[in-house]
Amino acid sequence: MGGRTIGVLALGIALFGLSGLAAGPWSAEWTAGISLDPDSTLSGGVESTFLLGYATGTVLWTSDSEFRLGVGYLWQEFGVQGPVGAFEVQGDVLFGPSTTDFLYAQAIVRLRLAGVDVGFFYAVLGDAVLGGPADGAVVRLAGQVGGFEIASVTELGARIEDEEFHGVDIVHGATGCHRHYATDPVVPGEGFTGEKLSVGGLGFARMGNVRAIVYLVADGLECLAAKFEDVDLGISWIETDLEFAYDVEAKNVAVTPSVAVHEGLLCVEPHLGVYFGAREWEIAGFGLGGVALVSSWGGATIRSLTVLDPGRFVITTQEYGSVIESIEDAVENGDLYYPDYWELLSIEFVWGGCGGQDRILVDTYFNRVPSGVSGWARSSVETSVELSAATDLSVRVAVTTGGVERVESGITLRW
Amino acid sequence: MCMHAIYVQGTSEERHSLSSFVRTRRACLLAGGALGGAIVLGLAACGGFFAPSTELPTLYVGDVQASGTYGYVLVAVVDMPAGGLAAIQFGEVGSAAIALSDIDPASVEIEGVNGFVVLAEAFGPVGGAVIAASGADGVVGGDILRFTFTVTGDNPMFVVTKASVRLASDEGEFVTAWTLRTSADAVYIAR
Repeated sequence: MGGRTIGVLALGIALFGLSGLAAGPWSAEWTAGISLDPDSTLSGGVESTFLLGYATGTVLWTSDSEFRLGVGYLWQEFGVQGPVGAFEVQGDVLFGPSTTDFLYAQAIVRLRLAGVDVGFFYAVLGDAVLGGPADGAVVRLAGQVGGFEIASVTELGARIEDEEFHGVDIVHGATGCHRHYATDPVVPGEGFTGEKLSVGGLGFARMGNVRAIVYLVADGLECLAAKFEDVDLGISWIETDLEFAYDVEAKNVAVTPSVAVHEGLLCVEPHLGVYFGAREWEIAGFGLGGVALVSSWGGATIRSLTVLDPGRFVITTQEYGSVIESIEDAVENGDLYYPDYWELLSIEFVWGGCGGQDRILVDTYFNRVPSGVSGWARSSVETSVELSAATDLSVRVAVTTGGVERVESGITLRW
Repeated sequence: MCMHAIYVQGTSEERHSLSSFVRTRRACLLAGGALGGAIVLGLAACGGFFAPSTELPTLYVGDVQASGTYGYVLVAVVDMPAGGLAAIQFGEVGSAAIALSDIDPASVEIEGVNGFVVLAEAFGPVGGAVIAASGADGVVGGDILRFTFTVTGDNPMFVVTKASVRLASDEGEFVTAWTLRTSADAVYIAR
């Protein structure tokens, strides 16, 4: 342990020494964090992330390195992004240095040609990653014809992130650390695998914007969906969206309603669930699965999330946005959630500190099974302070009914 | 610094010559760098660095992911043949295929993913057994089950015994040749 600690400290000193690179086109950011459990042993460990950037004209080249004590050199990512002539290019290559493995690479080229947005996506997944090896490409064409917004996504062994698909995460199994990318190669060395066609801007009376989506795969029709955005109920402070999706393979219909009420400083978001009847295509009714109340003024935001149907809805963890989500969506999206907490009270203050913007966030969770005071189960306090434009400090403390769960602190330096 | 001094003191012709030299040298460096990169990528490609390889069908059991007392394990399949995995059996009552440690067996809940539905489950002090099947087509690759539970200790373990697991394909045949991988031998996972 002593040798490793010295190694991490040496690394930190070396990174400080790189501040000389701040001149000219170079930029750098170093973040370090330490986690302690109540008996003062390193549980989450020591982690360090170093981001180095080099700008050539409008193109930015980056190197992102992440280290973790006990695991080693976790990720090494190289990236490039920016306009090159008429093209907008982006490239990412990810390596696992501790196992000397190539993990993932993607290249994205975008171009606007005669009013049409043309996008080419290509990605490769290494065979060191479970799910690989795989490679594939996607061609995306989007533009306006009359008042309609038409987008065509042709999948050649890969899928790209959009409203319906959440891209790909490369996860380090032992730590749960992950990197997110837009292009997901799913089939090694194959041709056409799918076509998604969406037509938006279809306006009907009081229906706002209607978007129709057809998704075809190599075997035939996969899914049909219709989205009704900004449905006009005649009440200015209520926003309503409605989505119908028919999955051909599973032969089921999903109806996803969404409502938001804005009145003054208060925003109410009821999360509705659809209950199906015994017969196919029969909808027995709608139920209220949860309610989110959000109120903001000045730099303060108070949120109350209440799960009313804990069998179908949950509260996601802080890392996944602390939102009410159906269990089905959380599982599909890979979002981590709390299965036992039915209520979250959250208070956040943001203010301009001496160097920049400071923040404090207090989250308090209540359990379905009565425990502690009024079912209190867990609280966390997180504060971050910008000491200057180049330095941030952060501290996070989590307390449960069993005592102090974890203490985390971190520092970010920018050049 | 040295070049800067020569530039200031030189004649107009010398400055032009020096400027051309610097531009030429920069172009050479860029071209050399690009060529070097191309050679490295070419050698990597020739060495099979980016080439896909063939592997046995794989059942992957993820590591226990714990946040406080909440924990979960993802089970996924990769490269399943014959239309994909249509059904899976983890042991049977009295002969559990899943052993638990520092996990409350009574708290285990199982959700099917990618069309999988849990048909039967039994978890007790000695471990658990599960039968699940796909309600639609088989799953060639991707998550199939998500186990959630309450963590009761510092070292939660979720261990699957391969000999007690049976896999069936969408074409109605047992998948006999397959491998079981865990986070110990699959360091990185795509999902």
